[in-house]
Amino acid sequence: MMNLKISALEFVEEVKNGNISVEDFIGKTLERINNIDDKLHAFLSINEDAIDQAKNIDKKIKSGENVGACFGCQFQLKITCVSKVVKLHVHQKCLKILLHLMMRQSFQN
Amino acid sequence: MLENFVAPYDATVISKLKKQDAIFIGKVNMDEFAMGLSTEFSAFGPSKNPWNTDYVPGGSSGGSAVSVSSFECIASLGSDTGGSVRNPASFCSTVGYKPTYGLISRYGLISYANSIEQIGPLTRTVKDAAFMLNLIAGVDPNDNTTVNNNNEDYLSEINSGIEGKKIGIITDMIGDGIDPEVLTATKEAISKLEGLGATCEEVSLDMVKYSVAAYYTITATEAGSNLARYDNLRYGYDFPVEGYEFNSYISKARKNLGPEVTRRMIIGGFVPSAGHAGKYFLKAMKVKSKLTKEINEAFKKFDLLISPTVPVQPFKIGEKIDDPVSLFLIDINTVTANLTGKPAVSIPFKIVNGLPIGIQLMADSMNDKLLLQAAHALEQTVRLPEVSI
Repeated sequence: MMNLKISALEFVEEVKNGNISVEDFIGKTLERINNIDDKLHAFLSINEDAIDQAKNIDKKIKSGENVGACFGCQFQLKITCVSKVVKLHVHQKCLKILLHLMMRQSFQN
Repeated sequence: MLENFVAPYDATVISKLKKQDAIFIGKVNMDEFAMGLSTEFSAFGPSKNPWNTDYVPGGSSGGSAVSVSSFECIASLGSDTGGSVRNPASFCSTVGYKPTYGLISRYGLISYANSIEQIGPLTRTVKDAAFMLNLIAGVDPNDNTTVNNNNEDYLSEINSGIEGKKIGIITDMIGDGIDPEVLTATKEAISKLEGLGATCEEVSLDMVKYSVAAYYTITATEAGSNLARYDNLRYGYDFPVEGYEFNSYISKARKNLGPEVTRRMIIGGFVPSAGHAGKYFLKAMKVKSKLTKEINEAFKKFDLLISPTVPVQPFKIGEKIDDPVSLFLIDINTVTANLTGKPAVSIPFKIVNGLPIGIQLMADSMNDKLLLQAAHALEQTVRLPEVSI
């Protein structure tokens, strides 16, 4: 059971120690957003590359490459900060990524 | 107005975090152009407080605070012009940090009031705020207002405690209009700090009573200028020009801005205008400089200043939306840090009647490290329940 309630520094330690993968954590985070954000309306858009970025960081960690201090820690942006994050409808995007994760898992099984 | 706009470049804070292998999950909700303190003025509809979804999450960085407190994300970045990081942090029970003016680059932040706003982190712990500050603070050639922090490590020595520190209790921020529950929580926080070895004493900042009026005058003036670019020529909606002459086209485009933005742009056009500037804008600037002088005097005597972050607890969605003046007054404890450029932090302190109360600490400019140490010390004295959603 993935604990999403950890702090950023705890996340970095867990990933460094190999206890969790960035990809799994992001997957579970997206699942939570998909489950509860209808009630809260915190999110306006989802970064469709988040899972691929997570995979890359996991790969870097496994191959012993240098990894930045965040180790794939996830942040959100208030929409006043400009970024190249593509605007997409939240739930449509979450579902797409979750579907991708489920397919990946079923292939592994 | 910028719904379908995709920026061609990253803000400096984003580039810095990306370089450190951070992942951005998405963008979160806020009051339109950061104008508001309840997220009810979002062009996309309001966010809801995860502690009770009938209540506002604060604002303008409401989506940021909601996502962190409800475990939808580990940390978030907001912008704080008059409390827009600290107010939602207080309402949602997260840590909200507004650094010294110039400590974090504003390059890539959509400008509202350049002279006082700062980007700041919203996190689950004070240590996380220090960690983020380590990654995003420092000089940026793209923002001439940034200051050199000599690569300060805000995380090291965070456990230093506050023994022997002098803390001023700002009496003007615990007076009329404060909720009794918030006052009780503030007194409890003062006792806890005294228990940790700090000395607390009352201090008065006379200009605080004029700070909200000065803040709205100055920010509206800067907003009026900054938002002039949203004329549908460079940014805006796709509608044809046929049937309009220039002014009527701009006027039609401006109608797409929400009520709070419109209100502040109208104020921003009026208060600095010829014949009125002396009565409003110049007076506001005088309040700003007198307040700065007062707070600088206070920091000769005290290491830190304490107050509740917000004088009231979260209110119901829609409760104050038709009363902009009573909404504006909620900013009374947060705007001082912006007008004077001082660093300030909101620390989750108590849950009363199922809704959070945050405590604000302020320090002198560039004393961000000391402020984070004190905030961490206070944070360690409380154990709060988790949000149940």
